Amino acid sequence: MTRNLSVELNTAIPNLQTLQASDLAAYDTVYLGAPFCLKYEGNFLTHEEDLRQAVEILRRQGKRVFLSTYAIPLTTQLDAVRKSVACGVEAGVDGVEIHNMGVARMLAREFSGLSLVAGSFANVYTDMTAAVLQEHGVRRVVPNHELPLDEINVLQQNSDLEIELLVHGKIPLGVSESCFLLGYQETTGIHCPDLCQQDFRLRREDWEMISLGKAVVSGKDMCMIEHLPALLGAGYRVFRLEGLSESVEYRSTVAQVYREAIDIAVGNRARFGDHLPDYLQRLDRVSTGFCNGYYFGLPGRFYRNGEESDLPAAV
Amino acid sequence: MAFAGPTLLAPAGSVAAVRAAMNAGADAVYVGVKGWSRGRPGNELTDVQIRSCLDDLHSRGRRMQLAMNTVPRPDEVEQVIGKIEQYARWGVDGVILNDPGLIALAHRAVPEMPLCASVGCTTMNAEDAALLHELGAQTVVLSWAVGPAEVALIKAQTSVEVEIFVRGVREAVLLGKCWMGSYLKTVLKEHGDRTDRPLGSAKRSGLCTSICKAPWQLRNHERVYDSASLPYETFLVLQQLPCYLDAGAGVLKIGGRELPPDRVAHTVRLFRDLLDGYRPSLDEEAWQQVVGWAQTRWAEDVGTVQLFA
Repeated sequence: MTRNLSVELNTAIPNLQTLQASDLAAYDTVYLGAPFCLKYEGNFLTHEEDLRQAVEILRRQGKRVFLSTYAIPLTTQLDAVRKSVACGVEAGVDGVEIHNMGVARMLAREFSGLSLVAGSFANVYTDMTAAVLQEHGVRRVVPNHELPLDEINVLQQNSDLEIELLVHGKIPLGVSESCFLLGYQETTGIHCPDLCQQDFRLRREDWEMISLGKAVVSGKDMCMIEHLPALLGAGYRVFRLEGLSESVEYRSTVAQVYREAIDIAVGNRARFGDHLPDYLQRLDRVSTGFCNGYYFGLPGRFYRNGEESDLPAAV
Repeated sequence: MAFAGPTLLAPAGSVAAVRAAMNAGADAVYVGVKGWSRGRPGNELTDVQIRSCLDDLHSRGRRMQLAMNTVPRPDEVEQVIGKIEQYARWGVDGVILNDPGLIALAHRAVPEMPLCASVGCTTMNAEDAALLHELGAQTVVLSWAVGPAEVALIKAQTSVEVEIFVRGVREAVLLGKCWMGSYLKTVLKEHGDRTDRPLGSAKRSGLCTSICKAPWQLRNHERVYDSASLPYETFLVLQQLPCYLDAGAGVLKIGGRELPPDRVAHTVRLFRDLLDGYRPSLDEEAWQQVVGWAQTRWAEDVGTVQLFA
């Protein structure tokens, strides 16, 4: 089976150590850096030499490389963002992911022609805001995760921006300027920067979220593999497999499964259903439960197990 | 000479609260438009109530701001613009919006209406503030994470009016960057002239499920820690008030449209008195005395508050 080159699978890698340990063969694009905390161990956003090495490694592997940026910078932190982006540009990144509109304004002014991606914390809820960002150098948009697919479709139809969809992995649910886990250093005996490398889960009855200190992500994995043919049919071509805080095994397994699934969905859609149980089983082995996020207008933690997708026909 | 202070902006979740805020000395009052604001449906006003309160406020020389700070669905945008046009005809003094693109559209469609970028826009820095100003926002509400020194930088680098919360709630996640509530629960309901309001999403409906108020259990694999309350603190800005004023904060906003009228009145009176007693030349020691007085008065009038900033 030849690999379908028109469909992009991407993921995020926080630091050089993780990058060197990861099998990224099934990915096309990698986002570098942890956008929610500058103190994240070895974060590409603050380790310039590591960033240069990472770009070089990924270039040799034929990957596209995007550099992420800090999600919630104060005015006094904009210089650090500027410096990190300058380093990334010099190293040859293909673009920069922003999560803050002000950063888009600054980069569009200071790095003319730089291709920007509006990430999940950039709060793109409407085609109107997407248009504003486009005027500031944004070429690709990750719609806010709260949006259902019918509204994302409107965004797609009313804009010529590339739309990136999260199709698998933990859903970012919020970000803060202060670290929740820092208050538990004494109780747990674990200290920063090791705290957010652990698996701290917030549980209430059957609700579960994961605290990464300054960010909160879903307890379950978004899983859209059953709906891949419909997403492809609707014209989506850029898919995020969120792996920022995941194990090497998780990152590799999920990408292999989705790559196979895309190739089948594009090459021989009629056979997709035959393979689906195998895909789900392999994904389940590295997962702690599935959900569909907000795509079907339901609370994000719900999972429409194998039901027919109500996505529109091919566009 | 009297200190030409900033605007004291009070919340109101009912007609009675509008009157209480006005009588207590608020310069301006903000209320939520039924169906369209970040706030509980029970704390929003109908258009009939808004019209009546607007007349009352204007007759006493006060201003009225309307919160329409939820993000509309694509098929609701026209309705939102129509409502802003109507409020402009009525002479409403400002509308709070939550989506940068909608701010740009509303500014083009109703240029005479002063627009305010909601705290939900999570304005963190001078570039954010400048962009929102370019799109048409006259005022930006800053996140509570933006301290006085940062406010001064924003004021130095932009010409936008800056609004800060002097009473509010610090939550686990920044306002405008949180969708934990709708991850857990979402219900569609009809409110005012808005159908299918997605309750559960702070950004889209204004009403989140307030899950950060609930006790959570923190676990790391098999190790279970005690109940882990997420940060949720009511704060009053007292100590740092002069710093914010010196930094150029032009609007002091009291958060809390859910507050009953007597609590609104207490809070407005406290800050009115603080502002009336403030002089730019006031030294640190004198201000500490004022703060001590304010804390005592707050404790006597209202009760506890988790944090005095």
